[in-house]
Amino acid sequence: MIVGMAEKVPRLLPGVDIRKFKLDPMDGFLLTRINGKLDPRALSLETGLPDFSVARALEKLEKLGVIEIVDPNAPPPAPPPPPPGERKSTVAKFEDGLLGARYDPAELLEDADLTAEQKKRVLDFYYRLDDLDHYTLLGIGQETDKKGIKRAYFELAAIFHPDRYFKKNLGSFKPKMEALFNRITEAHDTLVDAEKRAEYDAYIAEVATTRGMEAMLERAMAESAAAAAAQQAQQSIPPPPPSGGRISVPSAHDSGPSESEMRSRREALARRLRGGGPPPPNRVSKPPEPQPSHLKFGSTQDAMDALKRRYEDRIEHATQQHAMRYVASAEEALAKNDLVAAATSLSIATKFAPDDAALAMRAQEVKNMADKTLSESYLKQAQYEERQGHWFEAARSWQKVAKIKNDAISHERAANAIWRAADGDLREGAEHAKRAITLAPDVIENHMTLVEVYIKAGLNSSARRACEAAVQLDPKHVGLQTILKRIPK
Amino acid sequence: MEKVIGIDLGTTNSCVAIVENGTPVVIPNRGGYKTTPSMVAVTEAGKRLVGHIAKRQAITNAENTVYAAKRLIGRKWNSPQVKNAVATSSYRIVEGPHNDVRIVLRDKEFSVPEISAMVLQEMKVIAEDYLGESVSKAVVTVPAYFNDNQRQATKDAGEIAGLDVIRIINEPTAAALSYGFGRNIEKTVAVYDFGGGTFDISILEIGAHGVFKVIATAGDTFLGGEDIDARIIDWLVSGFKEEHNIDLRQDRMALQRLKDAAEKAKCELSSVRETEVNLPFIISSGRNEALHLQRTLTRQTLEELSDDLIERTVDICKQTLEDAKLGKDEIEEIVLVGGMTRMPKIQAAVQAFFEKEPNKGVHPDEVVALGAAIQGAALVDDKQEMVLLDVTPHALGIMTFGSYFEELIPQNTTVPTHRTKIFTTSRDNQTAVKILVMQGESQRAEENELLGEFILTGLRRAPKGQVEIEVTFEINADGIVSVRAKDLETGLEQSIQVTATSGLTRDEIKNMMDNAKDDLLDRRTSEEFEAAKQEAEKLITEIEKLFPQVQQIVASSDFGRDAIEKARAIVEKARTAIERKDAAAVKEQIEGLTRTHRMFKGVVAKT
Repeated sequence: MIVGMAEKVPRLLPGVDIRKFKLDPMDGFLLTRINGKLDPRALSLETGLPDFSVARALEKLEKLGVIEIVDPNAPPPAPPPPPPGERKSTVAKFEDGLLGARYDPAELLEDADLTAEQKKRVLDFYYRLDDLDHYTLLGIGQETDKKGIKRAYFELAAIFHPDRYFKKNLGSFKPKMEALFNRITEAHDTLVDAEKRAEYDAYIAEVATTRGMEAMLERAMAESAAAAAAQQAQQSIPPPPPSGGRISVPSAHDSGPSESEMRSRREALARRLRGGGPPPPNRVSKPPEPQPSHLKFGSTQDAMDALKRRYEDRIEHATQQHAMRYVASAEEALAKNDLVAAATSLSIATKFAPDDAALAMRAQEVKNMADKTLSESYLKQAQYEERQGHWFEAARSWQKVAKIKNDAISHERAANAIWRAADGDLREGAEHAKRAITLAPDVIENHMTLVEVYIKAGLNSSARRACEAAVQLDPKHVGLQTILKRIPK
Repeated sequence: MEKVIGIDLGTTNSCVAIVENGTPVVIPNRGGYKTTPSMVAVTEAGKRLVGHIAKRQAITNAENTVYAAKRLIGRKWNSPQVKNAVATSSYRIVEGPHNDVRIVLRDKEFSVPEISAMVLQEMKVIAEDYLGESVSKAVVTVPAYFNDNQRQATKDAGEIAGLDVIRIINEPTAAALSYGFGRNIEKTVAVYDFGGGTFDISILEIGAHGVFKVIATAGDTFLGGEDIDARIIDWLVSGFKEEHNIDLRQDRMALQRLKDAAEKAKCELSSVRETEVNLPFIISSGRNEALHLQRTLTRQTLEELSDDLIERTVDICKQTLEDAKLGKDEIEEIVLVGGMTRMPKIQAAVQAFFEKEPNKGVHPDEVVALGAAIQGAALVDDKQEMVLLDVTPHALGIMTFGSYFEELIPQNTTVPTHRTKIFTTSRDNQTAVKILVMQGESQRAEENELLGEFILTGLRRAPKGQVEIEVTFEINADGIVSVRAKDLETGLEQSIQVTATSGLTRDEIKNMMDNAKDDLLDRRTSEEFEAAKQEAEKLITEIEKLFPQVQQIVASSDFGRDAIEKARAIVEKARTAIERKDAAAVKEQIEGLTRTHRMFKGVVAKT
């Protein structure tokens, strides 16, 4: 993040009832994280959603009037929401710095015949190329017709075509602009050709489904965390301690509460029970027990026992209810063939009913099915990306496949894509390659990929060691010999 | 800001323009004409003449007057086009030292770029006279279908003329720039450009922000008004021969007069229904008297003479639309460019094909130069809101094992661009590969234009197919092609920047191909070849079985003998293709074989 550059942040508009809008789970999930403090980049980090998904969702939410994008230091929002302005072009959007700058500000200082604005624009686009799908790149929606695509392309081409800066000194901006022009042309050429567009849309849909699934997964996790927290909160209503035990309310004294304090607390509790205690949570649907009266209890101890029983009942009941609710929503999801949602719901359900063996088995079974679906989808994406030579994206997809399938091939492909990508995370690449080797130690390709990763990372002695280890396995392998020669001394 | 002139270097006429205060204007020459004949002559006194003056003395100095030099630029001596020009030109064309073409004027040899440079220099002077200042930068147009060698030769001509050619653009594209400039329209436009020497068709999208995007372009660099003139000359010559039994072609001066008369008659027939060709004293009868040529040419005869040429342009239009995946109804405007589009038959053919009346709002002779000037201004002037997204008119690729052409950058790809493909070795223990960079559309490498070559060595010894080589092609905005080959295993890399030349002969290429065959990369699909081979061989056997019978039946007629000859040729071609293991070529012959087979069966069945 750049010091001194205020990142704009999205924040909820006051008084908006989000249920009025047609949002998808991802939007909903994102909304739970929007707090007026996190900028889009931080939101992307926090939600684990890719930049462009966040950008697109934010744009949608802003257009719908759910959120506004403001300077974090700006005064709080005025009560009436501003009227939705004209749709801004992508170009303008990036200029707003919506996604935050990703380049080193020093790059702006390079001597080139471009204005600071032009430089910013180029860098903003350039460093996002890996994350932008064709539609986002052109700043259009998926439903845009041929004419709209062309219009958007022309707008960008007029900015990025190298002829606009003919015989000017562009320095390192020149190859960047050519890369940008190439990408927008690729986007245009793909989208205006009905056949290619269909193929691309299928790919995008695949990506979107899996991302939707991921988002749902996150949301469900958040929900279960919230449920667990709520439970915790319930538990922290000072429960009656087992006789002689200590209550869980933290004490101001290091040495623990004194006997007299304990007694006074017990008494206070008993009083509350007899009199103006808090009403029972409304989700308890059991017929209300008759309000206990002090007359019924012979002693404070009796009252305490009764309280304890009731508290435990309530917890158990609530827990069961939670489990049942998640099982029900899992069944619902299953009926819709939404395996991922079902698996998530079931796994949460098992947390509420840890002893239910049948439920655990069912959860595992559905999880396996969901994993298969997901990994197939990622696999398709990875293959498409490899075909297009988009190694960065391919690496991401293969990593996901590897995470689910955890087999040697996926790990090897992930490592391979990582080192081929211009700026892959080589540490992760090495991890994948090592994992592949652990899983299939006899496959020389796995070793070779590890060596490639090391070479790319400049870890020559590691590369040499790994290579020599592989040579032990197959001393005659020519490929290994060649690689070995290639490792710089 | 320096001024940039736009030059339309035409086959028959050239034109120069400039953008003044935001408006493109054509600059007239000293005689007040807006176009200048692309003709160059050297007088007996050794004086060099260019333009109208060269044209006027052409008849009396036919052997030392060059016209249509553009048809020879960037071509190789032994190309069929040059052979054709040698046979029909009144000036002497000889072989140059690099298998290039030289023109002899008064015993001095000139390269073709030198001749074109004289025309360009003339245009430069016209502009300087008009502007009152010196001019050094130009945008020059070429036919869209020119290959890189022809473009480079044109650039060289500019340099010889003392001009920095900052960009070469395509003629139909230039026409579209001129048509759409400053109009703020969004339209898909077809430019039908039928000039003196070449035919081009381009389809462009004109959009917001002054963007012009070429969608597809195609053409024929040997199809133009000159060819229609040649048809008229043929008609006149054969008529004269019937009457007097004298071949006028033997006399260069007569030929030059015929050429002038043919062009004049052709132009006249665009506005009148018939015209008289009257050439008194055209040749000596050999009996001490001169003969006259006098014939009436009607528009209808002219149309019959040129019918197949016009049909060819329509076929190219059709193909281009298919390439662009566009329907006729998606073309919103048709712009006619080039002198030939004044011919009513051509206008009618275009209208019939596109089912739309062509736009006649642009001046067919000036629009290209205006567009070149607009592009020049757009490049150097920040205030000009115009960007041209051009395409590469020919596919670029390399030659692979078995003399196949493997395409990396397809035809009609928007530039700048880059593409990468991975190849493997084709021989066991192969340690080097030769990368032959080629341009063209044929699957057979030798039919395409060779642009350059280099060798990548140091490959690991391995069974064939195991070493992977990544080949990357890149075209930058200036149209410069660079090629890089990288051994994926060792990381070794070799690259060249392709500077087109006219230096290599077909034989040299052929030799190189033979030598390089073993060293080339393999992308061949052998199943495909086997299937085609089987089918072709089956047909050949069938045809050969029928040969004796058919011969007996049809031997009495000229037509029959001709048909037999043709059949033999087809069978021969198919055999050669099979020998060369060339799947594409075999497939190509199957159609002819099938037709022959069907015809033979028909003949036999009738009797």
